[in-house]
Amino acid sequence: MSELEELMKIFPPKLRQILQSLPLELEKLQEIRLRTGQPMLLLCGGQELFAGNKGELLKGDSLTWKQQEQFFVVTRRQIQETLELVGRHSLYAFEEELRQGFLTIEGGHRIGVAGRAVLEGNRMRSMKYISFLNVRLSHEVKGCGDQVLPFLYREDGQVCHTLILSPPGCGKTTLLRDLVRQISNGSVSQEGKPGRRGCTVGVVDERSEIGGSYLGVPSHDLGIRTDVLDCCPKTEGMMLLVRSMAPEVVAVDEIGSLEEIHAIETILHCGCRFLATVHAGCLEELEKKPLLQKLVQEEVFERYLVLQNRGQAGRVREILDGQGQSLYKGEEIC
Amino acid sequence: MLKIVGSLLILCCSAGLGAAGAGDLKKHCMELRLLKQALYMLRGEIKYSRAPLPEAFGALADRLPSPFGEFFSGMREELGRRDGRGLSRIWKEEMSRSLKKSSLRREEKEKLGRLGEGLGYLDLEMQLSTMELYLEQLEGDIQRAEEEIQSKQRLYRSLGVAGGIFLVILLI
Repeated sequence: MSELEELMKIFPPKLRQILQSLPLELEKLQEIRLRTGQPMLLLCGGQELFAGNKGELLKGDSLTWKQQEQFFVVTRRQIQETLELVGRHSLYAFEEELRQGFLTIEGGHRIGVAGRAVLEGNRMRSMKYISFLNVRLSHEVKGCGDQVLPFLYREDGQVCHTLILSPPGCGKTTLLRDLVRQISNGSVSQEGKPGRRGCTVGVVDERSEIGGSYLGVPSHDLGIRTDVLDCCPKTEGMMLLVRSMAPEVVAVDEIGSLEEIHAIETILHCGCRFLATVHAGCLEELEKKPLLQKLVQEEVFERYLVLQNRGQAGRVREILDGQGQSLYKGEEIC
Repeated sequence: MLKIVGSLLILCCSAGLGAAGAGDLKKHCMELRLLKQALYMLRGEIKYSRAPLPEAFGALADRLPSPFGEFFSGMREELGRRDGRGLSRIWKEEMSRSLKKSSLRREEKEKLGRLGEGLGYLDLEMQLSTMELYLEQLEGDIQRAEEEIQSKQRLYRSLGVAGGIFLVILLI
């Protein structure tokens, strides 16, 4: 079954019919946004497109009023039906995920949800009247880490403690996935370049995004020496992996909470190398985050990969070392 | 001689009809109990393993006898197709396919149909309370079916025999 057919299974018949009639390139498709009473929007290769009623794609900036009437508008019922299909008719089984605001489906695609929060004390208990869905497609771009990989190794062949900085939706998870795969596989020497030894990598995949695991087995290629702990909170998961799987490199996505920072500090003193991503546009922004500030000042990380916030997903703008010195600038090759 | 054989045959047939009627009552009650068992199992799957419905139905399908085994295995297959149909629609379609020959009464099938509309809720507690409500109703149905057995089983049997005797006398 093709990837597109597999993805279509989460949509009710009407949306399926519209999406299938659009001239879409699945490799470029990044997001499908469904909002109650609003036109269906697609993010394709960094460009925002409207889905038309007759199966055409309309560009947002050059539209006339008449064309706007041709938009396909999403109804509340369609959102509900989509949600039912995403949750395999069993949303109660995904209560915890919904509380976090998203569900991960087969293939590692993430469905973000928003609606009205139901509170219990100060904590969000669940969500009702879900009216906004964002289907974020997970892409495996093998080789997107090729250019940065040589910068991530020290002279003694050890992997540097690395932090990937990126605003949301710029491909940090895609890049992390490829780096994990390449670090895990290692490489043989060719054309004068020395080979790299493959390392045991432990991935804590709290949101099933890195591996896109289904029933515990990653659907993306994460390399031959990678162990994946799926759906486990990072704090607990990192320690568990260190104890149980003896990884040389620990990789996690989207760090930020206080508990996580504490766990990272522990990991760093366990002899493991650390690879993570964080939401930040640049190093200065990162330094303004109170929790991460300390780690930056102590020069804990040896490499910072700053991603470009537009254009192709996963493209690196700059590589910095622990002191903030630039090692590589992406613009030169763009 | 022929008359005696004929009378005996009539008597046997009518007694058999009466017994079959009584048997139906028993089957009805047994199916209701089986349904209750199925619902408890489903509730367990949802409450303790948080299994999504297709998985939970699969587990039930392997452990339940006919007709509910077929019903839940059909549910698992149809949900697995993921062709865009909603759960309540699949539930109703599967009911009319697999439970056609069951001895559940019309109103009992309606209640079961309504349960299908209430499954798949977002909230676990709401999900469980829908099932509790249905189980309560089911308990009432079982009680009624048992009382029916008590009161009607003997009646059916004796009516069968008495009807046979009456017919024999009438014919002779």
